[in-house]
Amino acid sequence: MDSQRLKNLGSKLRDRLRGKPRLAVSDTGPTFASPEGHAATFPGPSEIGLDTYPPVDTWDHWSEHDARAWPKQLERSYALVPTTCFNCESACGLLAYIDKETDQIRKIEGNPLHPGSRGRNCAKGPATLNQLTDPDRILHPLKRSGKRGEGKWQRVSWDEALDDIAARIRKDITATGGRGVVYHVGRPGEDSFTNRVLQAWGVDGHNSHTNICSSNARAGYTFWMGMDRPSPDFSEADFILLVSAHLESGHYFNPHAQRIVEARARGAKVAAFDPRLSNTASGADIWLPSYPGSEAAVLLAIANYLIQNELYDRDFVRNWWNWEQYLTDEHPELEPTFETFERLLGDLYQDYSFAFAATESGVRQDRIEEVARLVARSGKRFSSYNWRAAGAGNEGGWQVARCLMLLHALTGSIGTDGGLWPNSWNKFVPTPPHPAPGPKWWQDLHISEEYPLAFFEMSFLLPHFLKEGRGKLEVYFTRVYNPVWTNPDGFSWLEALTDEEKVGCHIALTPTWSETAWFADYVLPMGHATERHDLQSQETSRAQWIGFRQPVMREYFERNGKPFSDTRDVNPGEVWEENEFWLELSWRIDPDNALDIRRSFEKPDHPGEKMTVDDYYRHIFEQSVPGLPEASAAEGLTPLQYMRRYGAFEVTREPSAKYLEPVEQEELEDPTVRSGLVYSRSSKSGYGPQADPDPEGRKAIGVEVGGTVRRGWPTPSGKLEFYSTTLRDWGWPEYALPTYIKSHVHPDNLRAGEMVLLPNFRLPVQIHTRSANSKWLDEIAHTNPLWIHPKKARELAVITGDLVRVSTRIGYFVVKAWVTEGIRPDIVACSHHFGRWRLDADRGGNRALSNVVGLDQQGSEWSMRKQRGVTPFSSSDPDTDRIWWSDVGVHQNITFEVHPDPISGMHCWHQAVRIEKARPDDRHGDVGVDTEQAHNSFHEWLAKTRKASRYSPDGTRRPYWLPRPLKPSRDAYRLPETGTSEDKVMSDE
Amino acid sequence: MSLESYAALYQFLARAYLRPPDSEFLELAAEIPELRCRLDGDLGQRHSQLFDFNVYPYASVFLDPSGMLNAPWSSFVGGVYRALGLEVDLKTGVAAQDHLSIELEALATLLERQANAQMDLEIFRAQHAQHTLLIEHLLPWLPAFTEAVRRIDRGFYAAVARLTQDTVLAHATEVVGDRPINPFSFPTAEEPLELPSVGRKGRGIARAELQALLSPARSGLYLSRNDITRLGQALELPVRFAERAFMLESLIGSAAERGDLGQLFGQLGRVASGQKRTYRAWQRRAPVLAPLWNSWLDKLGETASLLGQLAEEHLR
Repeated sequence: MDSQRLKNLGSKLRDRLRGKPRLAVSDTGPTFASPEGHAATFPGPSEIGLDTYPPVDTWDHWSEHDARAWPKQLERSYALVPTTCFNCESACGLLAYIDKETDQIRKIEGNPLHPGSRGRNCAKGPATLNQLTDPDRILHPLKRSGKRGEGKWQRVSWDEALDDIAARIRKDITATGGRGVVYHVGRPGEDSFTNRVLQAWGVDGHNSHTNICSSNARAGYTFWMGMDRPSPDFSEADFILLVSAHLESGHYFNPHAQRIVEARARGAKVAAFDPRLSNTASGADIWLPSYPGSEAAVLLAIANYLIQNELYDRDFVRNWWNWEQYLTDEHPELEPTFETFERLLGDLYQDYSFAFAATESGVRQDRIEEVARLVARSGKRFSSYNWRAAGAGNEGGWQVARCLMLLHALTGSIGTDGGLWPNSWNKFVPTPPHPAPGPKWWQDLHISEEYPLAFFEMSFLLPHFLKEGRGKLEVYFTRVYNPVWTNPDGFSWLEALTDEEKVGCHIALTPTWSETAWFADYVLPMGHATERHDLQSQETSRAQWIGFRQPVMREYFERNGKPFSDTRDVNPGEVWEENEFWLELSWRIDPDNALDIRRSFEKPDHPGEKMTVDDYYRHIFEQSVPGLPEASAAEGLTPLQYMRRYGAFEVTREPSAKYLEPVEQEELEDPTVRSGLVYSRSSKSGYGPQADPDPEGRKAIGVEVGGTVRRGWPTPSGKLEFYSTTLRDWGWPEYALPTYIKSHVHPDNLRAGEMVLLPNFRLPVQIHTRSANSKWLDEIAHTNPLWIHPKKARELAVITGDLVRVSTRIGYFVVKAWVTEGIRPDIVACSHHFGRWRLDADRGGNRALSNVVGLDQQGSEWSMRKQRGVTPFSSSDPDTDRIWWSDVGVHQNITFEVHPDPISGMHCWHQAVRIEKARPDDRHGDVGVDTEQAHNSFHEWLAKTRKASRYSPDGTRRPYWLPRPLKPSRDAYRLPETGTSEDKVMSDE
Repeated sequence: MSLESYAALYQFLARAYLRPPDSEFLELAAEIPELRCRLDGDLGQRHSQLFDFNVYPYASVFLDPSGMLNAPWSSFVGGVYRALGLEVDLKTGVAAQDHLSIELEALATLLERQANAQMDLEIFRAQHAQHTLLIEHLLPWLPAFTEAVRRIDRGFYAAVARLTQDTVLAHATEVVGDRPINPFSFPTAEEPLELPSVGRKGRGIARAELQALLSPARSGLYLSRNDITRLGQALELPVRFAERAFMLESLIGSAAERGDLGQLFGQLGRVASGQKRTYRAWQRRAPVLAPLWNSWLDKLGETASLLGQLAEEHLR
C-alpha cells in the first residue's frame, strides 16, 4: 500500500477512533526515573539530572543487573568507591564498581559528586577499566640484565630496587648536592607531593614536559598577568573564541565542553580557529581556517577594531593596565596622561586592518569582522581558550596568548561572569606537611643560560645538552614520560639513553611498557587511576575543588575490615604507587637523618616515625582545606574518611576576582607608594604584586587604584602588563608590547618546495602514550593518515590509501594519504597519537596498538622499518583474539628537528616538509633520521637566543618573579662569574 | 504522513491483534477496502486459531533464545517502556508486555506525544523513543511474524498482516531517514544450534535440540503447528497435535520408521530457505532497514545448511 493510501486510511481511522480509550498503554511522560524513584536531580555540586547514578547512601550496597548477562536478569552487588581519572590532566571524577562477590572492579563510571566533571566523562574515563586488565601491563619490578635496550630483564624485589636506587641518590647528594638526580615527569596528575619530595632532597631535579606542550601559552599569559593559564567561565559567556579544536579534544575538553554546551543552549556563539575542519570547527558558529601561525594577526585586527571604534572598557584600561609605565619609559617626552596613551594606542595597531588579517590568515574578511563584532557585543561575557594548537605550533606562538589576552584586557572580561579567569583564582592547592625550602643551586641542564625566560625546563633539549657535555645524569627517573616517542628528535633521545656515560641509572616509573622504558635500567610498575593516591585540583570551571585519587581496593578493604599493609597488597601483582614509593625511598636515602632529609618524611605528630599516606593526606585535609572539616563532621566522618568516601570536595563556588580584593588595613604597616605600587612591612605573604622589595625592605603588597589599595596582579608592576619590562630588560624590547611574530612556517620562512605539516592535533579518545593500553579506545581510533587536500593530492597523483613520503629537515616518514576537503590546500596534517612501536614481538609495548619494528644505525643515520603491524593474539583477555585492525600508524615526531622558541622555550611543533609520492622501496611506517643533522638544527635554533650571561639586567639567570614548578632559592639565581665584561650588554644599549 | 494518521493506524492494528473482533472493530475494519472484502467467515475462530495456537504475537517467542513466552526478553521490553515513560496495564488480557498489540499501541502513544510536544527537545525525545521501539523491538521480529500469519491465513488476517507491514515500514523509513542504523543482534544463546541427536537411532530423544530448532533466536526459523502439520501432510506422515517440539519429534519418529527422514529434513531445509526469501524481500523494499535482518539471514543460512547435511546423510 503506498503512502497516500495509508495516509487516507489513517485520516479515516483517526476520525473514527477519536475519543476511544486506550487498550493498555498510557503515557506517563519521559521521567527517566529509576525504579527506586530517587530524586531526579542528583544531590551535590553537580546539580544536574543524573538520576541514573546510584544515590550516595547506596554506595556500599548497590545492586544492578549484569549487562553482559542480558537478557537474563542477573543481579550483582557492588561497592562504589570514588577516585580521579588519570588519563589526562582534567582530573575528572570516577566511580569504581567493585563486585562484592569477586572483589574485582567490573566497571568505571563518572562520579556525580565531582564539581569539575559533574558525573560526565569522556571515553577515556570508563576505559580506565581496560588499563587495569591490560594483558601487557607490567606487574613486577624489573631490572635490566643485558645491555641497555637489549630487552633482557629480570624480576627483582622492591627492596632490592629501593636499596640500589637510594644508595645511588645518597651518593650523589653527598658528593655533589644531588646535581645528577633528575625526576622527569610527563604529566604530574597531582599537586605538591613529588615537588615536596625533591625539595626535601634539596635538588633542582624537577624536569617536565611543559615545553613540548604549553610553554608558549604560559609565556603569553604570564607576561600579561603573572598567571600562566586561562580558566574561562564558559557557561556564563555570550561569545566563546577557541584557538583550537578545544570543544572536542583539547586539554580539559570534557569539563569545558559541557559548559560550552550549556552556554550555547542559552544562545552563546562559538568561533574556532582551526586549519582543519575538525568537529569543533564544524560545530562552531564561525570557523576561522587560519594559516598556521597567523592567529595573532587576526587577533590584533580585532583589537584594532575595538580600539578604533572605542569599543573598549576605558575605565578598566585606565585602572588596570601599566600604561603609565609605558609612557614614562618609552615616551618620556609626552604628557603622562591616559588620553596621551589612548592616542598612542590608536596608532600602535592601526596597520592591523581586517584586510591585512584576511591576507595573512587566508580567512574571509567578513568572518573576521563578524568575530570582532561578537567580541565587542559580548563585552565582559567574552570567553576564550588557547593552550596548545596555534601556540604550541609556532615560533612566536606565545604572542597568540598575548594578543588574545589583549582582547580580554580591552573589554575588561577578566574575572567577570562569562569572562576569562586566571587559573590560580580557580585552583585550590592546599599546603602539605613539612614544606621544605627550594634547592640552593641551579640545574643548568634544565634552564640553561640561553633560555632565561623559558616556561619551564628545556626538557626536550636534554639529549643535546648531554651531547655537548653540559652535565651528566646519575639517577634519572622518567615518570609516565616517554620522550623517545613523544618528543621531537627521538633518536637523539635514544642515543643519550643508551650511553651510560650520559645517563648513569635510568628508572622508568610506569604502569606500562613504552619506547623509553625499554631503555631503562629499572622498570618499576606504578598504578593506574584506581591504584594510587594523588591529590589534584584543576581550574576547569569557575569554582575551586580538590579531587582525591585513591587505590579503590584499599578503601574497599578498609570498609570491609580486610587487612593490608600498603597499596601493593591491594593492587595487581606487585604494582605500587608513587606516594608510598617516594616515602620509602626517601627514608632509605637518609635512614639516620644525617642529610636532614628523613625529617621531612616523619609523621607530622610523631617525629621519628615514618610518615604514611594516611598521615600525609590526613594532615592536609584537616589542616588546610577550608570547610572540609566542617562538612565531614556534619556526616560523622573525619576529613580523610570524607575524601575516601566521596572523592572530591568543593572549596568554593564563588572564587574571588583577586585583583579587586582590597588590602586589609592591618596589612598596611608603615606603607609607602612608589609608581602606584604599595609597599608594607607586613610579614603576611600571598597573592600580590611580584616587585622586588623597596630599598627599606618593605614588600609590595598591592596597588593603589581610585584611592583604594587593592591586591592587583602578580606582575612586577602589580598591573596588567601591556608593556612588559621583563621582555624589554632581558633582551627582547621589540616584543615588549603584544605583537605578531611571523612563524617559522610562515610562507616567507619556507624553502622552495616546502609546505606546512600540522602534527599536533588530537583525537578525543586518545592522550599521548597514556591511553594506548585501552582496547576500547584503540578500537575507536588507532591510526594517523596524512590529511591532504584534493588539490594537493591531484598534484602528487595520490588517492586515499596511497603511500606518501613526508620529508622533514632531518629525516622522513612514510604514511598513508587521506584525501579530504576538510583541510586547507596549503597544509597537511597528521595526528600525533599513533605510530607506537616495540622492538620485541612479545614485550615492550602494547600489542594492540604498536608495530614491531627493526632499528638500524649507520653512523648518525638511523632508520626504522615496520616488521609487523598489529595482529590478534591470545591472552587473558579474549578480546585480543578479536582485534580486527592492523594499521596503527606511523611515528612522525621522531623525524622532527627541535624548534625551541628563543623566548618561551616551547618546542614549536609545526614542520616545514616536502611531500612526495612514496618511492619504490618505501614501505608504510618507514622512518629515517640523521641525528648529526638534528644536532646542527639544535645549534641553528640555539643561535636565535639571547643569553642571560649577556642580557641579564641584574646578574641573575632568570627574572625571579617568573614562575617555576620548583623554585630554587634566590641565591641560586645568581649567574656564575664567568662572562667577560665585553660580553655583557649594558642596560642602556 | 501526519503523526495522527500513523497513530490511528497503529491503534487500529493493536485492536486487530489483541482479541477476536467485536462489532465495534468490525465497523472500523469495514472502513478499509482491503479488509472489507475479507470480513466473511468466523473471524473469532480464525483469530484464536492463529494467535492462540500457531503464531504467538509476543516478541520473546521470536527474539529470546528460549523461544518461550514470558521469557527474559519480555521483562526487558517492560523496562524499555518504563524508561520511555509508558505504563502498560496487563489487565487487558495479554500475557506479557511484549505482545504485538502493546508494541503497536506504544508507538501510537509516542506519536501522539510527539504531536503534542512544544519544545524541540521533547520532539526529539519522542522521535528517538519511536526509533528505539521500531528498530530495536518491533522490526526485528515483524517479518517472521507476519509471514507466519500469511502462511496460514489468506483472508482477513493476511490482509491485516500486510497492512501492518506497510504501516510499520512507511513509518520506520520516515523515522530513520538516511541515517544508517545498527544491525540487530540476538541475545547470545548459551550454545550454537546443533542437531547431533535429531533423527539418529539410539541417541535418545532430541527434545532440547528440537526446542532450539523451534526457537527463532537460535535457528532463525519459525515453525507453527500449522507449518509442522503441512510438512507431515506433504510426506503423508501422521501428525499429532501437541506442543510444537513434541509434534516435530513425533513427525521425525514417523519419518524414521518410514525411511523418509531424508525427505523430511530436505523439506525443513526448504522451509528455512523459503523464510530467507522473506527477509530478502523486506530488505529490498526498505534498503535503509536492511541491516536489521542480516542476523536472521545468517541464522537461517546456518540452519538450512545443517538440515541439508542431515537430509544428505539420511538419503545416502
